[in-house]
Amino acid sequence: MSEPTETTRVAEREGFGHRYWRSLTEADPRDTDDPFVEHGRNKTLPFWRRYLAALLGVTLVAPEPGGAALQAGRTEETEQAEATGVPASPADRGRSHASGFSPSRPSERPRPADGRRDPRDRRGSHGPLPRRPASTGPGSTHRRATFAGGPLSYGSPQQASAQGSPASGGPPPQWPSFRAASASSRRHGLRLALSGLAVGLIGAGVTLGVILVPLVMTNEGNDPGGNQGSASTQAGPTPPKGARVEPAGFAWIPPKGWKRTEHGDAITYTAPDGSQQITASVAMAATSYGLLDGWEEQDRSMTGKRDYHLLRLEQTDFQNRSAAVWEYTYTSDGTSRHTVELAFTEGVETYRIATRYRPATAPRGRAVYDKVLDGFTVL
Amino acid sequence: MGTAVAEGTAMEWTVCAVYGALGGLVVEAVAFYGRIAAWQRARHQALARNRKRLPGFGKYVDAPSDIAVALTRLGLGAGAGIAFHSQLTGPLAALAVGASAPALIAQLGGARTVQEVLGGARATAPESGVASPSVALPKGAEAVEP
Repeated sequence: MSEPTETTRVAEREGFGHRYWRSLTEADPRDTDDPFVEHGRNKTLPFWRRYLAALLGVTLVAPEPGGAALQAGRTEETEQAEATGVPASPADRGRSHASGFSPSRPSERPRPADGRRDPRDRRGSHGPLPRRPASTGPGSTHRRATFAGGPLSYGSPQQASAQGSPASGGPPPQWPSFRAASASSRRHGLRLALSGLAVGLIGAGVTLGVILVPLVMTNEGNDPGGNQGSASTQAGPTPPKGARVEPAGFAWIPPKGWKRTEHGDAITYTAPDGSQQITASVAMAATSYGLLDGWEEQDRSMTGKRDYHLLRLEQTDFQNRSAAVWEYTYTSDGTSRHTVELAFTEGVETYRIATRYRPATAPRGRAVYDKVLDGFTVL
Repeated sequence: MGTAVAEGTAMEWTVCAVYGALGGLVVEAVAFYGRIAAWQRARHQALARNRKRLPGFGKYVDAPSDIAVALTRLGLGAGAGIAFHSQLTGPLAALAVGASAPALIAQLGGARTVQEVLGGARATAPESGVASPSVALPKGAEAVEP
């Protein structure tokens, strides 16, 4: 039967609510012993690693100050253990005991070699421990932490051993100027900050560029560059002068003095005398069938009803776009109506511009409609 | 009569890009709050242990990489907003889409192999004598027992 882990013990102490929240937020029950809180960010790794780690949410914990010394060999704990015969380090304990020790437990953690008590170890004091560098001296038996791999290098473990060990009898280790090191670190940090800013801007620019360039090129491809279609006079992202820009993504020049009404995605302008209506709408493009197919289906369903007469149902061009036009007459409420609908697809959206007027006002109604078509601009 | 009209109108891609970038900013704000929380907790621990020198905020912020990541998250959010602009009809939806892109990428960091690659070394067992794991162990993971 193995010893319960710290995670298990914490989970047992906590209620369901805490455990649920920890699972939901992927929080660690050992947050109180979080090494990141104690040691902060690791800034010694290459920039790309730190960047990717931050982007991917990986926590890079700064190395413990005693790491290099531990790597170099014995620690104060080891020395004490040898003197007392009690294993001190996890490795020693692992050898003297069977198994079941987790290195994350405070009791099994090696103490930093600079003499400072492991901050995660909350079990009582080990007594006053010397601090850097006041306790340094030829007679000190305490092994100093050596930041051999860090940006602030205080010498190799071998140097520290040779200079500071009582056996060598040499002078105390020479510590470099903290001020100079700090200034160098600041300059280094500034360079890194600027390089990070540059890389970030480049990355964001490339990301946006990859997405925006095709869109811009698509819009340029839709520029007619001349009047080729029967109803086209102007197109492009710039709305014509005096045009009304609609939030739906187009601009047009509706007749002045007409009554505006909005119903869903359709915007309708009605003549003051009610003789004509002009409607523009935008909808998601149908993918199952084309515009013409849909209207042909409606044409078949309308045949023979309400005095419906088809005048035109065909493919056409509108501002260099493939479009469909459907023109017909029918009777509504005893009044004959003349309807012209023009639709085209731009991207994933279908634009429809339609008019309905009384046949008696056909010449004027058609002229108004053509003028609206001329000013219609997809933004 | 006439063509069918959809219920909602798609937003312009520029608007979607802005809202998407704001969504990416939300993710960055949450991450930044995590750093501040760690800093505050470290200060509380230091105060509880009567330490005279409290940990500085710079210990928990890596300015170059954090700035780069913030800009990347903004870009990712904007890109996601643009990519989905034809299917977005409201600002909240655009905000959510913008936040989802960097959040989805952050989920990749949960893989242990990714953590090992970024950390440069495995979290070592005590026998090796290296007491400085450069990468925090995965959430809830226990170290390998000897």
